[in-house]
Amino acid sequence: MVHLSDGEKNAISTAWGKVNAAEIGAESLGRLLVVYPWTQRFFDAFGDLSSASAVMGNDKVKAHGKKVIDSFSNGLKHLDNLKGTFASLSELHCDKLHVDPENFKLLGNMIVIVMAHHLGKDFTPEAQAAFQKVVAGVANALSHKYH
Amino acid sequence: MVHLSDGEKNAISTVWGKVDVDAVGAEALGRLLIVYPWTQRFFDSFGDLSSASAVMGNAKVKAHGKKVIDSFSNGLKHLDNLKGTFASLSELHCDKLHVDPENFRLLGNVIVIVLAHHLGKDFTPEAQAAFQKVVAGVANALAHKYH
Repeated sequence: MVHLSDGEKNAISTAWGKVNAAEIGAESLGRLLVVYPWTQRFFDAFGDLSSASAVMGNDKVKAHGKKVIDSFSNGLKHLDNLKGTFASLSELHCDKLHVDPENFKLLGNMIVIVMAHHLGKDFTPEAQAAFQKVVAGVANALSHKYH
Repeated sequence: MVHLSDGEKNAISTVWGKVDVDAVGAEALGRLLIVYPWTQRFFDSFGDLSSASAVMGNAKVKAHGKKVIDSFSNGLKHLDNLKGTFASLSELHCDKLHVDPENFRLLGNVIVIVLAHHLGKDFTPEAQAAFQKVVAGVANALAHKYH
């Protein structure tokens, strides 16, 4: 469970309301694959990931980025029960996808960076602090069912 | 030593040439103190750090942010010898300042976030990847003399 003040919750909804979530998702996943190239191993079926422009322009990356961010958006509505919200995704990522949970922290960080890139003055230090708590909470929740 | 391609080195100098380095330093240090409040313990003599606006407006934070970023800028000119360049600062942070080296990674991350916030299209995925390598290299160099 992430402990956020009312001010932090407001900062989060204000910031999230001002971005195009699908774009954030696509860009975050794309930048993850570029900055941390080993993450590409999970996406063999995605086609051309051979350069930064190939990755950022890849339709499957954009579609999957949207899928991931829709799940994250859902998490933003259940900040009091992130572990419950992400329980089945946690099992999936452990049992079927075999993703090292450290990668959830990397993607969470990438989401914060992309938010910083997209937002202007709305990316206040308070909004950043609140988002960094949330992405840490989501990463923990996604690791929670690992065994 | 950080291994960067010529393209990555160009991306770094292009980006660094487009930002107000002092502003990046002040903002990065300020945001570090807000997002990770335990870091404030190293700055007892800085006066009012009681709120995000107090931190971001604090003249000593800005001055120290400039000092830190000048050192980082110097590192950008010595990417082939970061450990040598930061050796005495590493000893200082260990022996006199007692700073947990994990905090160097946190500050490096905040620098990337602030660059994302300040730059528009120049914050390409390639530039981000190059900067993330650099901040990791600087953090490692600052931790290198710890004992």
